[in-house]
Amino acid sequence: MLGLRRIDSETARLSVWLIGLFAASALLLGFTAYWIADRAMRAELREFISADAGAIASGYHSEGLSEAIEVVQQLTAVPSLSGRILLQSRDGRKLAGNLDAMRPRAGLFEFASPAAVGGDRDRHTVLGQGAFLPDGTYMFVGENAEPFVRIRSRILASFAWIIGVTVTLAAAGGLLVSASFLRRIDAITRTCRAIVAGRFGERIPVHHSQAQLDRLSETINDMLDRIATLLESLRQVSSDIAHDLRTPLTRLRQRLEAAQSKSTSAEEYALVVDRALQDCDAILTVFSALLRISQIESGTRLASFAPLDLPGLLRQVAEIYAPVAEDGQQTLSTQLDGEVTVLGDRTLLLQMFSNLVENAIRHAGRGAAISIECRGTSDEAVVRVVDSGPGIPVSEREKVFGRLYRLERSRTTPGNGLGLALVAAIARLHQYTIALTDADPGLCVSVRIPLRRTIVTAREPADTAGR
Amino acid sequence: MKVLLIEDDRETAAFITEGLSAQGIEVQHAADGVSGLSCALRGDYHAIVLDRLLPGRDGLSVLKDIRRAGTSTPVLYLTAMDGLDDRVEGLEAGGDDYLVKPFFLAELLARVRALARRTTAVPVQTRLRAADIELDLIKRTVTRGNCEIALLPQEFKLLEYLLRNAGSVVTRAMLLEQVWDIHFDPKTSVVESHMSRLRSKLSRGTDIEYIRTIRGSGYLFVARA
Repeated sequence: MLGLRRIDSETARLSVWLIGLFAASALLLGFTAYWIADRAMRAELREFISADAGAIASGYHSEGLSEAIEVVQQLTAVPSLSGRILLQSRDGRKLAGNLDAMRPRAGLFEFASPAAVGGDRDRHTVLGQGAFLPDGTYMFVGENAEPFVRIRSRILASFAWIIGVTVTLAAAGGLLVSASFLRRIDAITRTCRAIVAGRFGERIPVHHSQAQLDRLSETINDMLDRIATLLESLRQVSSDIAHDLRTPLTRLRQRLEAAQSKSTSAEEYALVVDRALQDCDAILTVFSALLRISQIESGTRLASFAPLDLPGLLRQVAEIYAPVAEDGQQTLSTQLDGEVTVLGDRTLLLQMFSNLVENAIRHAGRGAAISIECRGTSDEAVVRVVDSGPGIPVSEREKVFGRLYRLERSRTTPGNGLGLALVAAIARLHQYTIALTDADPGLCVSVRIPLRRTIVTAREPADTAGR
Repeated sequence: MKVLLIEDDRETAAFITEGLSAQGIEVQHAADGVSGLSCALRGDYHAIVLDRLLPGRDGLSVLKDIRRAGTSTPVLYLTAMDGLDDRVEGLEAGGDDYLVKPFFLAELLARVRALARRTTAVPVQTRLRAADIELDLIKRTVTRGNCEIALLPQEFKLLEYLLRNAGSVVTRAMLLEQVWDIHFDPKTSVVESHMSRLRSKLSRGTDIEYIRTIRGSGYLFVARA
């Protein structure tokens, strides 16, 4: 798979970078340690050397070459001496000391001594200072630097090991980390491809290990949930339109067909046309209600949310419907406490509460008492529309919010069964939850409104009004 | 009265032309946006009825050009675009009213007349008067002759709208939108209930019928009793 191969090369590239970085830092560390150790040891050796060299030189200056030779002989008389001293004449002859004659060289240097002189039988490294006395005699004063060289090479060896292990660990770690990172990226890619391929149920697994990636995955999942909701809404509205408009359209067609074959007088035709017009209006009402519900569910109205005075809105609803209730010998009262500001779409909320009140007016029966109540606490407001009518049986309560659902006893009254579906859609958009309870007798519809500054648009609320 | 109709559907255009002409309104028809715009800029109309979905140029951009040219003729959208935001978008582009297809001819007629009246209306009024009813917008009082009539806020708003359109028909939908800000079709008799209360308050102690019901159209506040 091309995608996977690309991811593999990406893994390798990341690992190489990581290895390089680790190796470079190990090298830097090693070099620094080596340099510090080298300097410290050289300084120590130089102290010994300059003490001996000082003694030889002062002998030479006070009593001449013979005294210098004597000093050297005294210094080298100790058998287990670590010092390496040579006094050599201008013509290259060894005058005194425990080193063989060598090519004169001034300054601090080290060399491998071939001779098994003094206590050391093996070849060893000598570090020392060469200088010429005023009469041209060459003087070399040094120390057996073998222990120092051994420590130095041990440091080098340790760091070679450390670099080796570091590189291996870096390679393994790099592969592991980048592979897990890229595997997750790959999981995201695969999920997105699955969605493109039409498997809308796929979601990106969230591991709670890499915070950034988890956030990305969750956001993408939320987005997919939103898309799924939209698709579901679209599917629902298409099937609703197909089902629920086909039935009345068929009826209309049958009525017209019957008129064509049976009607004889102008009066009869007029009657049929009248009924046909009524049918058309009913169909159009259902049609626009379905469209409106799907439009609300698509969530585009979120952009027009603004803070609004909830009791004020409810007072307006009460003022609009009070005369209507009165005409049915019903009473419409309000209990609106305090100030509650909610975020929402005024037009839609007016429609939602109007629908609830209209529902109460239409189904509670003559003489019923209807009340609109609003109470707010610091984190939620509850609006209740309570009536003293026959209520809704418990078994039917969930269903009434579905589309085109009507209670058996309501089938004789006008209405298309979309009022509460619309209410549910508006509530869902606002993330309000609706509950139906017994008002004993009657129905109590409560709308719980969470009071918060912003409405989270990404996640669907857990609601009881769902389909 | 002269009305410009910009509508691409031939059948709808014929239906409207016939319906408005029957009411004595002169209708000029343009079948697309481009010719509609040039008609609007040349002619002197009382109102323009504009479809939003037109071939060539859409109604919204036609209206924007009309407004840019400084023509303030009232415009009524007649459109199948029923989206919640479509109305706001349309009105923000400079439209004055919005009627969704399918529509009743009586509704269109009432709205066109209400718009045409706006062109000739007195700009600022603090008192509205018709028959012997007077409404004072500043003092918020209503009097019949010398008698003060106490109205509830909703009734006051309803009467105000009726008086502004005294002598012509206002439809139920126009009242719902303008008086109560309701943009949906209520399933209860909101308009009728308020109307009957207002009527009985206005006519208490007299037998003058101030508000007439026009069957199939709406209501009419009589200009003269």
